[in-house]
Amino acid sequence: MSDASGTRASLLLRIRDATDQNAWRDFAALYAPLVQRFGRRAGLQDADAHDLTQQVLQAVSTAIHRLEYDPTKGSFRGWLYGVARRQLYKLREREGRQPRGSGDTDANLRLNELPAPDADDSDWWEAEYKKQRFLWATERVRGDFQPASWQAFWLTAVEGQSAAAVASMLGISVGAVYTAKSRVLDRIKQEIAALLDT
Amino acid sequence: MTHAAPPAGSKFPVRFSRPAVISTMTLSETLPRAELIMAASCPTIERWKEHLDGGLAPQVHDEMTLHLDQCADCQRTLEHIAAGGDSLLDVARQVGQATEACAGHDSPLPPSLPQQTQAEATAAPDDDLAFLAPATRPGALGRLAHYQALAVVGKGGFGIVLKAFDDKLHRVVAIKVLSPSLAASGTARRRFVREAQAAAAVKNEHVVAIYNVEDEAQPPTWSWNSSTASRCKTSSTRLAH
Ligand SMILES: [Zn+2]
Repeated sequence: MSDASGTRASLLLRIRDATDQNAWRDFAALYAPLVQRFGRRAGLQDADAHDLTQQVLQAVSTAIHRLEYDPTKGSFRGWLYGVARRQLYKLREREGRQPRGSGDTDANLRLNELPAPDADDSDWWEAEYKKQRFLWATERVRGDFQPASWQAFWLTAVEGQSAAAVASMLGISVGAVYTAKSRVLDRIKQEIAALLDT
Repeated sequence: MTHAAPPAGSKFPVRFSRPAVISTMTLSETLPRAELIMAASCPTIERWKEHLDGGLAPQVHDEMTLHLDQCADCQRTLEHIAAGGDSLLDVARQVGQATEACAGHDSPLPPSLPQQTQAEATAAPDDDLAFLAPATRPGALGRLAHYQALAVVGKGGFGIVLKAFDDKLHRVVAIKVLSPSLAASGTARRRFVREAQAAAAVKNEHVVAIYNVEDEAQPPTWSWNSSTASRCKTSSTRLAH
């Protein structure tokens, strides 16, 4: 998490570099939970959503060298959404051809009866991505703050507790709660801006 | 909006005497118009930006923080400067609501290790490890369930990461322990366990394997293989002696 801000900006370029171990770790931390949730939302069991996530990451690593990094031609997450949908389709097709053991009949039936994701899902994907990006950024800046500052931020900004309640819980002033909350928000904002994916 | 006047004769370090309407040149892009009109006695936007950056002298910082105690306008102004508008705050609340909804798989955090700054390393009180039972293995810091804590590898706002020996499986693991101060909070506890379950569900070569999620342990604990933990800078020197 201590990348210079210059290299942080180019996560999508960094994962093309096979020697950059942290790039894939950062990348997977940002996108894998999103794909996992996409799979769960489409009705997959945990293990199937996990398979889907693996397939999507695999597809990205295969395709990333051919991808043009040009934000004016559409966002990366938009492209990834297409990959996730195609892989979901493939997964269902595969499940259809190779029925599992009898014990899994119910799960298998459910899998095949699921409708294909509709167009409305792109709104869900967009909203979910923003939440995931926020969580990803919080993880990256968390270590830069004292525990009390971090808790002041999380309990107010994320959990929506009042500054007064959090101040008395943490034994600090209301002003200190607002200061801590704002400093963390400021760092998160910078971390997100460095992704250059808006 | 009122706030305490400075004590007579004291040198007040913050200029509170700016005009009521502040220049819109730099602000109109990030703040709604209503935010531009502030009470005459409030610090300027520029001052709040400096406050955010932490560049102010300690005395000024304290005065600003004191002002924030009482001034709802400035509380809101500071938040808006920091978040760059409302949308980041909205996303933060959506994340919170998804977490509270307890839907099982909403908003998992990736399994990353909290890093610790040098300042935190020196400021951490020793009683952080008070939840450990006496070690039953020479050289260990203490014991938690069947884990012998060997070293502290990281510390975050919500938890502590320990390198530990798993007595059941006979291997070295990293365990993440929910901060004892938060273990009593149902929300924090549920979130912690859900993070671990979600992390366990997303196994791939880039994400470490989660071995175990123990909600029953006090505090709740989860563990994963220690190859990643060992890449973390250890910060256990102070705690080890
Ligand atoms: Zn004010």
